[in-house]
Amino acid sequence: MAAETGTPTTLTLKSNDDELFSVAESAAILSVTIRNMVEDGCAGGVIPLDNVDGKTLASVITYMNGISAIPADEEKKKSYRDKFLSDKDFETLADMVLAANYLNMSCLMDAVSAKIAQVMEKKSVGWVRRKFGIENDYTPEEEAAVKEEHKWTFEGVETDDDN
Amino acid sequence: MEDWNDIPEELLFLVLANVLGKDRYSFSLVCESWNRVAKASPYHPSPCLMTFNRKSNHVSKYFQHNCFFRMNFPTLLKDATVRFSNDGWLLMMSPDDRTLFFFDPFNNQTIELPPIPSHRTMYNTICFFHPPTSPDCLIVGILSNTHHEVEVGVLKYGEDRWDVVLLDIDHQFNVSFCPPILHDGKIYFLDVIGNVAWFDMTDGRSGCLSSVNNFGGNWWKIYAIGCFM
Repeated sequence: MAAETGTPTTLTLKSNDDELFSVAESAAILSVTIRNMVEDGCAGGVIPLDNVDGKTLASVITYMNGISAIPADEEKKKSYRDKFLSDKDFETLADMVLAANYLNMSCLMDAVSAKIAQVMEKKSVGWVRRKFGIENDYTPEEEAAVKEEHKWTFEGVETDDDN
Repeated sequence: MEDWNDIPEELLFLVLANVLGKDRYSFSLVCESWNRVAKASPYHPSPCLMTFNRKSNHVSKYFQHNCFFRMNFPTLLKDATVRFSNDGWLLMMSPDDRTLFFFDPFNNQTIELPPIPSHRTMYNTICFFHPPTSPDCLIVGILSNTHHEVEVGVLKYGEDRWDVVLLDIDHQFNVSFCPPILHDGKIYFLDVIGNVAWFDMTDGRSGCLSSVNNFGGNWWKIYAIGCFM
């Protein structure tokens, strides 16, 4: 352990496509999944991460290193997260939120979820379905019923016409 | 990314927490499972200002996230009055002034409540703590009765009748419409001239905190603000 040897402990993570990554234990334990393994003494050899591919894991490790280098300053951490996610495309975001979920990294999950929500902003239902590759499983009647439930008429900016 | 059709619900909850206004409506329409998530979401959107259209009071107007939008109120609720709101629910009073019920305007859901105890007028002030779907939900109504006594009615989640307690307050106390405040098991409430009384929910004790003998100003301008530190 780091405390005994005085040198930082590194862990080896293995993606599901067999890429190996070295990462400082202090950064890796941002993942609760990995932290539990370390605490249980199961992190000695290579840690296999069966649900994460190499490309995504590389990104997550960049994030782990970046965010753990920032001292306890929530503002700075937030701006790092924003910058980190700013150039990620939709596919990458989708992979990353699943990886963050599997690794149990709540701060990354929250940030990526917010980013994914931004993708949906002011988009039509059809656009969201195509972008997310989701099949419309409503019958026309059910869809009409849901529409009826939410009779929201968006007005953008409007004048007060109640008087 | 394999498939958004198989995404775990907890991740959809997280995404939905950041989806606002009309986009939440689109979210619900995407597919059945997304609609289920939208309905069950533990995340509440930010506070929302609601106004009634005066010409047709079954249409209400909302202001949230810097946008206006409208929703139709069911005609069933026409002429009902909003008495209190919390957790996305409105506590409403029917036009006969006798019946209270909860209404969730976002999901168009109504929860009926047992009638207030007989021979009593409607509470001067009424409030609730925790959403009506929670086992912790508690509704508290307070009134000054015709004998100049203060009566507290408490309705707990799932119970079919109100518990009524007469308070021991030694001077005349005309309960104000200002919503009560719950702190540390005690309900604090005002009278029309600004006196503060309390009622302990756990042991039923009560008392008067202050007797200001007319706070000055008008009764409809006196409010209690909870700031216990």
